[in-house]
Amino acid sequence: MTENMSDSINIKIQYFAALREITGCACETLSVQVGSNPKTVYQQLNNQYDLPTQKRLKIAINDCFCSWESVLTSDDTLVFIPPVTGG
Amino acid sequence: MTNFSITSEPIVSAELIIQLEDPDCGAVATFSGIVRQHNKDREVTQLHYQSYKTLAVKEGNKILGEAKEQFNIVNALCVHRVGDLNIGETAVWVGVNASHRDAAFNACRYVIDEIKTRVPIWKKEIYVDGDSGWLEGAG
Repeated sequence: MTENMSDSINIKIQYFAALREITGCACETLSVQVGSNPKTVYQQLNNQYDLPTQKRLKIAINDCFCSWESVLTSDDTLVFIPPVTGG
Repeated sequence: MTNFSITSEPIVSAELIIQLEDPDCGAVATFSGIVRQHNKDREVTQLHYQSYKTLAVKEGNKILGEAKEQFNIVNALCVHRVGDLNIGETAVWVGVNASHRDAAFNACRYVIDEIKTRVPIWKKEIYVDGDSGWLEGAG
């Protein structure tokens, strides 16, 4: 039990625009494997939601633009950013 | 105070332009993005804007800083509206002051172009038939 818990971390995910409508929530906490990155988290979420292709999305971790390969740490806030349409 | 801000209140350009009054500046260029009533042959009744506020303000200020570095301007401001907007309302306002008009025009154009492609703000169109959808963006 202790070993399993140490193998996973909790992260927070915020959703915006179309992704918020698909998931039905503005944010959620997710338990992910240690060493996870946005790419693996997106694959994990895709089992739960009918998400669009990741090709056009950008990534932010803790309010900074990051890459899909950035390794996540405990309590990080991850955002998948759909193509922007402001202005 | 940051030069890029996000507001849920109506944008009043006359109040913003006062901030660009400067006796050293002979030029003020502004851009207003207005909600229009059609897009791609569909009649629009309302727009809804949503932002990822923390990163939007950070990226917006970065763009204004780039404009000040790249063009010979004195100051640059931008306000973007969020929430529900009706036809004719201002969604975004950009203002730049400079000694001369070339730099003011060019910087103003740079700021709005970069904001439209980099700042995490999204728009949803509500159509006359009741249908609605988030716009796809250029990606």
